[in-house]
Amino acid sequence: MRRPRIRRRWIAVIAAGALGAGTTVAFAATLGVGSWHLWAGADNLSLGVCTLTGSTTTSDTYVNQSSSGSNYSSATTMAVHPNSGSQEWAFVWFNVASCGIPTTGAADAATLVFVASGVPSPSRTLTLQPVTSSFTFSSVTWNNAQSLTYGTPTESFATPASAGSGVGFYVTQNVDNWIKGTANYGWRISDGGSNTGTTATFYTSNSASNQPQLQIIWTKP
Amino acid sequence: MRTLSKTLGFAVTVAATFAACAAAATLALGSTTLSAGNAPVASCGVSSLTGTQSVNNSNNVTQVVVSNIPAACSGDTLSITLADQNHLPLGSSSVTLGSCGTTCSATFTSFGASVTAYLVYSYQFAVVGA
Repeated sequence: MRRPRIRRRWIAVIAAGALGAGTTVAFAATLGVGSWHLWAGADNLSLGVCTLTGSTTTSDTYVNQSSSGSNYSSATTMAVHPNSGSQEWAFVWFNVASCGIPTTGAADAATLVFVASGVPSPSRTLTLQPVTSSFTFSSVTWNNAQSLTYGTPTESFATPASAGSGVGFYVTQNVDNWIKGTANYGWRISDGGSNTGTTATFYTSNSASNQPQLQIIWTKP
Repeated sequence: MRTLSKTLGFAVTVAATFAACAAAATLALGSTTLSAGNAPVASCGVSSLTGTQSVNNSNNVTQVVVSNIPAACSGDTLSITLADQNHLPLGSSSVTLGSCGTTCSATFTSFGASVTAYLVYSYQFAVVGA
């Protein structure tokens, strides 16, 4: 009595398998294999490092509200002062183009470093932001700097605790934009404003040591 | 045994019917010739692709733009994997290419994770589509 039941189960299994095989073939046959696209490949990147420092690749200066027609592009330090009526702004520019990075390349990490020659007490928070209009370092003054335009602040940073100490931060996005063709007019460093602050000063590219430095780690296709 | 034979016969008949339908489905109805065989899977004309990445001040990749993709790839899916120096994936993304003019371009803006730019040593691409 039990044998016929087992046989019927096997029969059912075999039948289902045959049906499944047939329908699988039918489904596969609906694919137009010859009309499909398929491609795979890789783009290996080349890595490079460019370090910019010194007066041949850097321009820097500052402007002084209380001496509004003066230019300080040959000074060995640059000042940032917050007080209304005697504000000072620093400007710095690096010749990023001299690194020879193609416009199809990218800055993977760009680090800007300044060394303080004098520090305010208490510490101040300074703002670095890109300049978005053209000017000439050798002739910029407080007066003509008033017509300059600026981009979104790149970084806010605290002044170092002591003279001789450095401060560094990433400026990768700005440098990346310059590599890709955005005009490079450098950065301005300013203080948000106060009537009780004291001056922060940084060494410039005219100094014998502790010059500003921009290091760019970059890639290209 | 008779039951088994009948059932197997039925199953084989049904399978053959499906297979026949399958063979019929490969026919190009509008054509006047008939052939059968294997067809190679072709690319849409891509021989190489390059990407250009943008980076934020945290040194993370914010986007990768791939341009000069042949227009024949319109409608295909382009996938990208950002890989490190050991070819291990750091992040990946894919887009469907729209209708293009002379060439297509694609912009990838999300990779499933933050990708540190200086760890990226290669872009791995795949183009798949009908």
